Amino acid sequence: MKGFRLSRRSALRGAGVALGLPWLEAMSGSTRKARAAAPKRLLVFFTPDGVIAESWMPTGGETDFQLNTCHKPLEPHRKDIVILDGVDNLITQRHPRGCQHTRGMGSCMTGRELMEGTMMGGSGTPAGLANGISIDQELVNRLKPPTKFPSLELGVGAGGEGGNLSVLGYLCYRGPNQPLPHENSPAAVWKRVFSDLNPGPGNEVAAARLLAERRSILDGVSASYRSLAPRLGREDRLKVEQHMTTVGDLEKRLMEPKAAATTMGCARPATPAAVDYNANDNFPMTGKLQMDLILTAFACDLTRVASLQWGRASAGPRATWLGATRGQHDMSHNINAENKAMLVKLDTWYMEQFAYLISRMKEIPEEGGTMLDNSLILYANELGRGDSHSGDRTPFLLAGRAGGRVRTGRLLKFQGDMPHNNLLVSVLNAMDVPATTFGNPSFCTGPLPGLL
Amino acid sequence: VTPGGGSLPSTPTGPATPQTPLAVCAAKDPGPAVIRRLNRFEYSQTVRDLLGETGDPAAGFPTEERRNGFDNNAIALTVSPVLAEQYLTTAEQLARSYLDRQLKTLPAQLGCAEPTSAAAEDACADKFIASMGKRAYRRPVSAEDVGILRKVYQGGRQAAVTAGKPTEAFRSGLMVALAAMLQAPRFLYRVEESAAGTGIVPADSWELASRLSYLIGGTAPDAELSLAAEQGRLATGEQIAAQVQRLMGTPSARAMVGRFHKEWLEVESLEAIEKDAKVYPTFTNSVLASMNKELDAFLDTVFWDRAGGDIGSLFSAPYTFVDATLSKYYGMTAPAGSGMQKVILDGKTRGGILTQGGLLAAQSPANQTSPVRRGKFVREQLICQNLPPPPPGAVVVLPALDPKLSTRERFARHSTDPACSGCHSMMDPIGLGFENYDGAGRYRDSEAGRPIDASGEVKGATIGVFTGLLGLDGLGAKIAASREVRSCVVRQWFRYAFGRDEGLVDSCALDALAKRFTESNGNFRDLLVALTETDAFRAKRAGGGAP
Repeated sequence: MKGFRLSRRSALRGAGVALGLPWLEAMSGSTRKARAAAPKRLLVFFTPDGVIAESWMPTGGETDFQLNTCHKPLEPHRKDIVILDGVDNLITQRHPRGCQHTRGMGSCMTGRELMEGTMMGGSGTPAGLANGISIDQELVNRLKPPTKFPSLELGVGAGGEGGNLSVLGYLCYRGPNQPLPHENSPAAVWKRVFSDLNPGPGNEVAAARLLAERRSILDGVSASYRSLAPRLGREDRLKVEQHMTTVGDLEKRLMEPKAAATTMGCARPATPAAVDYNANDNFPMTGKLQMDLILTAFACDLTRVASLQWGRASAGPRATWLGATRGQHDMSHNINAENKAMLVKLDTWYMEQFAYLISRMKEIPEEGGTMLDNSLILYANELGRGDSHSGDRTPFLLAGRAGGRVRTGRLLKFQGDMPHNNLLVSVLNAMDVPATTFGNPSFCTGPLPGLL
Repeated sequence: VTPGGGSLPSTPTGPATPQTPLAVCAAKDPGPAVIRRLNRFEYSQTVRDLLGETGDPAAGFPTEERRNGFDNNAIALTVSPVLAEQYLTTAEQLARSYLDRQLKTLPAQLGCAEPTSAAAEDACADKFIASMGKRAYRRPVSAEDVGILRKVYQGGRQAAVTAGKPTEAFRSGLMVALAAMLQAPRFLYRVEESAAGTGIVPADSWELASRLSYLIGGTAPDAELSLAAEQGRLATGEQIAAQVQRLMGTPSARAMVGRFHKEWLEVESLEAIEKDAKVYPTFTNSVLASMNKELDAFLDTVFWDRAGGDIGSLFSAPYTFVDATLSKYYGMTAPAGSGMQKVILDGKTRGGILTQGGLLAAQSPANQTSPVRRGKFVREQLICQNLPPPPPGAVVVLPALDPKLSTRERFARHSTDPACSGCHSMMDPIGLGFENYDGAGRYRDSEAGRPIDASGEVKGATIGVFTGLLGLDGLGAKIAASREVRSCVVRQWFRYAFGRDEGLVDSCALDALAKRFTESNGNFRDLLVALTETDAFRAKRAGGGAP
């Protein structure tokens, strides 16, 4: 807990300030030391249903490009981004199983096709979940970050209404058929990630008691799994042992809290209010809270890998705050002049949120510059375009330099087939994971040329 | 028999070499009994019955994966790190709240002396572990588990003492013991230990009690069922049948049946439906809410009504349930009385489940009907025939709306283009028979200024060509009489009841159930009873699950 002064920190808590306070640095006892180990982070930023390419893709050359309408909010950050034009999700395009939405979603971060199964997509062909691990989890496996949370999966209005999330709702996978559900409520994220970050003055004894109680509970739970497992048949035993491992991980995490401020900007954020975060009209507010929570989790080095899923494939908000009367997916199926204008407006709004993340990261100084210099934000979508459901020219966008690995301020255009798996390989490389292929190798030809 | 679930890893499969159904029947193999984690519905119901908790504590847990359309398939019920954490925090909350309510009276309930010393408290805690443990684990707690829970209890005491609160030691110990029980595999899963030896053995009485209570009510055995298990009174067919009849009279049974219907008929997330207000301006949220209530009331009645709990009622009942909002929307006379009221239909526009607004709207996109989706629904949910995925490169875009063309005309390419017609002939001709109902469930007899041709055909099934009013004398009546549909209903119930995909090994049981379902004129309650009489329900494989 070096460089992490609990009592002063708690003074900030009540005021609800989390980020960018210049004097926080001065309060930290060993800023220099903490800074020396600025970690690299990956944040995946997903929005659904494709985009309108003619309002999204920039014109011009590699460095003298003109940003298009949707990217106007990124103008102040044009030196910090790489826009990709011509990357194709070939699995969406060519794999027979599932529909384009389900394939696009399943393959988005896994580069894998869907498994056989019975789940239905919007246009209705049976398929299962994605057949492989996603890059964020590949990073977790390969880099083994020493953080309290290996990764955080957050959503904004991305829940499956009526209880059915299915393949359309999952961006991240621990492995084939192992989707990672995301948390859509900032209040729940806060509780999970930050509630025990700092017990606050006078609460240390109560916090220690809670920890001791939990140790006793989880010891008992682990023991009950251990005692039962040998009494079960083989299949059942595997299942129970898998659960037991999860309990063990939980126990380890709770017992060895490693939260340590590495940068300024780490302060327990204010508790989000108890409102219905899944309500359509709360979408913008929820998004803002989730972004702040991710930024703070990064600043406190509680995690180095996160994803933020806005809506889900074949769904998306009814952007009432922009004047929309129809849902995003609904409009994306029928790109007439009116819907097109609204979709461009909505995608521009998404880019404002993306720009917000960039701005905040730039405000947090770290070894080598700012948090943005040490991070990579990857924008992704499950489709290229909503009405044709094409995976051709799927929009991808990067921000941040990943510790100097990514050369930013560029527009990269690709002709012919350029599988998005190649981008996934390059993202792994940017995060210092050596790889020459990722996902289904028949949809991968190596790293994305010219990115790093 | 086609295994319905594709080929996910660890899918239980039947014998490697196909056997003839005759050999399958002779083996009396109950099939694999996969360990089943409680889904959110079962967790909340179980906690309610165990602790008297009134809320829905599992509401915030991750949604279950659907498999074969149901959210209780054991293979899909895995545990993510987030869920494990929620189990922990929810168990703590539940335990604290239980003790807030019960701690004072607990010694009296357990029959222990007022705990005035640590020794007396420990003795009382032992009683708590035995009695609460038996209910939470749904069988007597083993000596080993007692040891584990005692240790947890002592850890909780110590935590309070260390925190300088020795007076809270008893409470703290009980809290952690209860929280541990609520995360133990014997609570979160329906555990059936591997029986020694090989071959087929009867499920033991505690296992049977849980099988009964979760099948019929989605919750743990109640006091009476537990007592029967304890006293060995679940040994004969009559004893089991008596419990089945009793459980079928409980509110939990109705809730469980309601869930089955909504998942099977794909109307479980009706409240999430959105329609284009320009195309369907009268389709409001209150209409949608009333449609949901209509489905609930109708499905509840066709299952439980003594006079008509059969498949014929489901698909062509001449009645439905409407309130003022829905009757106005449907263009009917408002019923007398407030809320949902049973009304006899005039036989001109509606009848049976297929003509209910909620189901029709659920199978339609936002601004039009989809013969594809409606046809696929009938093909897959009602006939249990899974369709192949579209070929690579197929463009899945709804044909553009055109005020001059009927839906049948707009979808014509699906039948004329050979690249489409192979598969679409299995869906579209069925769905086009639904064209008298628009994408928001309203009846219509013309489109694009011309009368609607709502004739349809279910190819490759005994239903064949159908015309006339969809529910009463058209598709609904033919579906109710169809052999394929009856066996599909049986298969859907089997999947739901056993939380697994059916396999070759189950073909004998499925055949027998289908035969009995037909003989009972498609009586649903009798089908539920029949499920409890199968080998799959009463027996299990010994020796770790291999047949």
